Amino acid sequence: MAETDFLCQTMAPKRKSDGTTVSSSGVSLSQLFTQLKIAASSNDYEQVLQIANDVLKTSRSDSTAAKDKIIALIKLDKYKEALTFLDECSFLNPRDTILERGFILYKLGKGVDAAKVLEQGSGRAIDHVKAQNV
Amino acid sequence: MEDFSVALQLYAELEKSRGPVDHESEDLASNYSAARAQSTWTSGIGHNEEQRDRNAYEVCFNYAYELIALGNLKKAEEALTLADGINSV
Repeated sequence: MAETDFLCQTMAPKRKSDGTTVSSSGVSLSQLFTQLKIAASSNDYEQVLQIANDVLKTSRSDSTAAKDKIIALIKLDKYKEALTFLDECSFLNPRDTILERGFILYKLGKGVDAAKVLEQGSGRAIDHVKAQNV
Repeated sequence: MEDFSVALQLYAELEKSRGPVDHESEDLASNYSAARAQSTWTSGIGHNEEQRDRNAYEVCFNYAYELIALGNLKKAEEALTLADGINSV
């Protein structure tokens, strides 16, 4: 087996015989995503963090779960942890996380770094963070 | 860093349209007044127009901060009294 095949196999979610994907806890990924959506819409970020972690245990490069985890860590004021995790998420396109990275750096008091990141993006939310970061 | 004119410009642009977030206009008014006060405090230069929308605690409080920076303590006290009479969100 080639090394890349091994990586693919370990990173791929387990599949049940009926073709649905299951997490390590035995709950299907689609069920976890439903729970994740409910937790996010009710602003229960401890719950979002827990479910996102459950998804990521099974599906390590899931960008939806990864982004939800980053948002949850931000909402829980865990900025250091959020930055560490964001750095680990090499599978996320840096262009899709400009706002999150810029905001985290701003909250960590790294204003110069935050400004450099925010300069790469545009939009209303980014302008809000830019203004706060002066 | 600490170029409050940039912040004021960004807030002025953001105020021209409405975003999808609840209470954004209140946050904008509050942050705009904070940037204005900090700009006055660091530069010592006042702003020509009086602070608008003085119906929020944060805006009144920040206006008092701005007036203190200009040495206008009497008006600052009035702004603080006004702030005191408004319930903070």
